[in-house]
Amino acid sequence: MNSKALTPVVFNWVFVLIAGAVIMMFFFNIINAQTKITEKELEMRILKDMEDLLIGKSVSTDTSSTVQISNKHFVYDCAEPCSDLIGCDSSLSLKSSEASIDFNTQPLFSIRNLQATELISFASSWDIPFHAANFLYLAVPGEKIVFPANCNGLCGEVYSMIPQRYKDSRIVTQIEPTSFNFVRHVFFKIGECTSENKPHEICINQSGLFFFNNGRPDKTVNFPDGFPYFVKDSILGAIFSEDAALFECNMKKAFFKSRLTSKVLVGKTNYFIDYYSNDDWGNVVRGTYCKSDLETEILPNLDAFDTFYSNLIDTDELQNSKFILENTNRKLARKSCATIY
Amino acid sequence: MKIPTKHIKFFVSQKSKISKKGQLQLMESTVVLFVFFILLIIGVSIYSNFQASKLERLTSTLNEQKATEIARKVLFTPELECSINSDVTKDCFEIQKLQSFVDNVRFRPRYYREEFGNTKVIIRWVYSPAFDEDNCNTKAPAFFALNPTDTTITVPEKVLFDFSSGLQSKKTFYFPLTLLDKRCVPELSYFGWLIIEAYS
Repeated sequence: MNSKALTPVVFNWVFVLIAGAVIMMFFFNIINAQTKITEKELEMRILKDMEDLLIGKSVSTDTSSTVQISNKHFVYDCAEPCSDLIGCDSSLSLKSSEASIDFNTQPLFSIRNLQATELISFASSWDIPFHAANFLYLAVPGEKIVFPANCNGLCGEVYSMIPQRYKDSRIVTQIEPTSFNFVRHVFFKIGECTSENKPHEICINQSGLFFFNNGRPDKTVNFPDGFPYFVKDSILGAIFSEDAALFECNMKKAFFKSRLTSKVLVGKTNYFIDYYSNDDWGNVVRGTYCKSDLETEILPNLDAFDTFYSNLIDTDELQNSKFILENTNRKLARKSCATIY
Repeated sequence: MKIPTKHIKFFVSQKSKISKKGQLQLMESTVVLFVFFILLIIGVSIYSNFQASKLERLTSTLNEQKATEIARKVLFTPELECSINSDVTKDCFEIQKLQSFVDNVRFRPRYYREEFGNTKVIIRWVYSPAFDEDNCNTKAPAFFALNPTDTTITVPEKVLFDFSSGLQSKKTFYFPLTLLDKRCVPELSYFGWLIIEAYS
């Protein structure tokens, strides 16, 4: 074959090669893009299902459930900046992905790394005494929360608040575990709290909650001398949290909620003070004593909840206000006045 | 050396034959390329249409999910829920809390936007018994009245919050709701709709 006949053949083959390469590249690109889209879609679906599940759990209190989740690595975090205008910077995300679910306002107590095929969750109503928020607690198999073998008094009360499901799946136990991914030891003391040199300890006494990690105190800037706790749900929150910072962050979210709820209740109380002051209402005598309780007992004690967690020195004032609100609310109901919560 | 004329004629005719064959091949290649690119464009447009409809379906599903989640969040918002002496009633809002809640949202829009996303939530009053002496209330609840002296509901539909942010695409969902009026003891309940518009 001479060179003139060879040229078109070579040209044809070069053309076929280039066209083939372009076609192959095109299809490889499509497959690649499709794979990425599918992966992203799958991640989004997993996160969406997780969000659905957690929102569902967070509104149905006092029930626990085990949910099968794909064996993905979830990372939970809650950190500054925290403010009552935006909540905290908190999210649950897939480690391998940029997608995440925001939990900026919902208190969620959990360890930071959740990797398992199932997730055990429950929620409790944070009543202080009015319902201010729901606390959501998450745990995965492999996580161990060790309570003292001899668990009476406050220990017994807190232990009994934990659903049986956690005890059956040996996440909450009274026996020293041999294998675990994460372990938390819980102690209840009457006197001073000291470390027993174990990983992730929590000691609870009458003055507060104290976190330790391998003998070293785990504290935050706001609470160098232990965290104040208010109602037992806060203790549960600390037990399910990985560390002091995570616990504090979630308590801040809870207190933002309680501030907002108390503001609504203050508005409602003011409405009823006006309503009972009005002659149109008809029953002047009843109106007078309803109004009196609302003005003198309810309003000042609701104001006590207009506070931030980081500003708490102790919880005595809140405990006192809680007690007065509970009594006055019952009194209002007995007098056929509108109850505040 | 001089080339004979008949040879030159032969070469010229051969050259024009090759040139015509080359032109034909070039045209053939162009047509093939043209057809190939047409097919490619058809393929890409079918694929992108398929992807777009898939995305639309996904967005619609996610919007529905989002609206349901937000509805659940709104229905269980502690600021609004009904409680009588600590007993919480589900799917119920206390009318006397609504105005304070609206004020809260006005002062902390970012907080509530974090919580409820790009949504608009409306409460629609549907039915109530008459406001009269027998029912203990002579006036309509202030939240649903234009004037405090109104004896009937004059504003049956009120926006709780609007975080639509100028977005146009929306899905609307209706959830039945009890509206609790605590002015009387025992309390009165009315029927309403919680309307959630999820924007994307």
